[in-house]
Amino acid sequence: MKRYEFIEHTADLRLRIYGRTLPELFCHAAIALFETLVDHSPAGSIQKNVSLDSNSPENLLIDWLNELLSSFYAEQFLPRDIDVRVGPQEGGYALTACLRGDSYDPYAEPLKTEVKAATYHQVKIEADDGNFSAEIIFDV
Amino acid sequence: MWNGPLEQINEYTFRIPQNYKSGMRVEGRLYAGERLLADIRQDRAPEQVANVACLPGIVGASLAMPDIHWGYGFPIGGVAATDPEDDGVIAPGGIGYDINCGVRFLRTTLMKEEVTSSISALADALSQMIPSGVGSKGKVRISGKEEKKLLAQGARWAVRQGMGVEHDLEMCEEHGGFQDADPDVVSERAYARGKPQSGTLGSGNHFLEVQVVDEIYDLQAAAVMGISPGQIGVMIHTGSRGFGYQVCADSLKVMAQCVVKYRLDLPDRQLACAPLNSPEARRYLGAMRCAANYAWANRQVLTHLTREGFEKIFGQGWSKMGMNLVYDVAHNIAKMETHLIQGQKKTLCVHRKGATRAFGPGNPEIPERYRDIGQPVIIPGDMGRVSFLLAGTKKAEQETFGSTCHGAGRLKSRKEATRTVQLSRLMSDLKQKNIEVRAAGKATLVEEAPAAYKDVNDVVNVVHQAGIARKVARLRPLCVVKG
Repeated sequence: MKRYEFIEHTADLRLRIYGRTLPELFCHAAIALFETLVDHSPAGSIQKNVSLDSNSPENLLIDWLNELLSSFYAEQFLPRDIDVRVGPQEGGYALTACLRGDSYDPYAEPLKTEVKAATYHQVKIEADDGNFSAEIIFDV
Repeated sequence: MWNGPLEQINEYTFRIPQNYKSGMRVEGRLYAGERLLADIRQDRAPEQVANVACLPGIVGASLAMPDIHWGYGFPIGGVAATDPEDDGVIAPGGIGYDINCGVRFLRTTLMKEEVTSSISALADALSQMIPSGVGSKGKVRISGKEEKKLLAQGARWAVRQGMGVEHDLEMCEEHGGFQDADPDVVSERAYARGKPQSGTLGSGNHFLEVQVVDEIYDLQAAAVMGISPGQIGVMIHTGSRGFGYQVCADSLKVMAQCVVKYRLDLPDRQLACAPLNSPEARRYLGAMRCAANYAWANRQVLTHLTREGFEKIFGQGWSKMGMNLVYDVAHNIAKMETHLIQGQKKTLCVHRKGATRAFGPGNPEIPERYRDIGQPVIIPGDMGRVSFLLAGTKKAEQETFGSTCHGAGRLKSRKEATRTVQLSRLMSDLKQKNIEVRAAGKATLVEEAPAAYKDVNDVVNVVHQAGIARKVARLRPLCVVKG
């Protein structure tokens, strides 16, 4: 199964992400983000936990990607192993993730593409026959 | 492809009627010529114009400049004014991630003949001195306390550090710094992302170009700007770097909750917004203004480095070479401005997402020097064609909240450009045109190839003919420094 693919967009990067489950979709979105950013497979010596909630799974997906992006640029953390749980909770959706990765200085080491952010534009998570997909746009 | 209705109002103005989709509070209005219209219909940008028309408190029309293309939330090239007295909102997506991305133009008194033999050395010097490229790190090292000052003062901070003069500040929108920036509402992560990147050009469409004045259309305005044919100038295009991206991302998370809290009905999540009179909006405005100030400081630091580069190559002081700032414009920004609406003065929040302010003659907001000719407007083209200096008009103030286009506008996606543009061919084309290119990344160069853009001549001709800016001078690149 394809984890993600790039599709056309005039100004930015548009991707379609796939997953057999909602958590897998979130995991593949994170992989797509980091494969866009760097060409590097880090060691897994640092552990980091993330917990987020939002009023919809779509907002949660974008918040998740922007959380990873911020921690990459601000805390210089590049994850390798991504264990993510997503599910409904009262008033919306919640996410907890356990990440293992390494430090990576984006201001000194090479960056493939400087992704500014994941955008909320027209993002929609679709479920078809138990498979999930979502279209997202990265501002680059 | 977009097949919605575009009704022709006059030769260069088209309307998306208010009844095109439910929720539109005003009509959409597009500025375009016939040739550009075909390009504009190629993607979903007009749908985004209609979406913006749904924003609470929007006044007049959701406007689109002739360089519009598909963005996220707002189209790139979109303008919207909202009225705080009519529950008007501020939408961070109407400013974008690169807050106060903008352009400045420095003139010199050097003539083309004087620099021709040194242009290659100048290109090397500038590309060495200007930190550029993806994730580039600046040479300016500042403490946390100092960064707060930078955020509060904007370009003035750089001038106080000896990187410029008072005249530079006079020639910027807002004198190079918003007064009401609030460094205390900015997240720690924004500080962390901003710190290493002060004084960097960045990547993507950002650039520094040494240009020659190629043609003059308006002698009087050109004389006031200090521009004559054959003269050398420098154009700098960059914004607020990681700092602005983080401010925007932080605020959109908050605004997504505001949509629920204030029961706002919006057609796109990226249009998430808050009423201008809400605490969330005030917080965003305080942070957005910090990011705008960061960008002005950034362009000021790069100006200083550029002047040093010229000094190194030509062996004289920058003021002796007449390297004065002509003007600095912001093209991703929101500002509280006073406009005349049906004969009444109103304070509105004008969002410009890929659009430039273009105030006309006599406007008290523009430097006295330009009061007779209108505000200088700087329109970068692509690296292989031309750029323009325009002047703002009264008509722009009447029709577009004093706004005009901001550049050529993308035509091809980065993916399509990568697939269709050959690097070696691109380099030989540029060489043939005597354009020296220095790029940190080859991929960016291909993505930013002239073929990826609309012809800026078409865009500028539309705004000139429509009267929402007028042509003053055309500039041709001699040397391009890209990230």
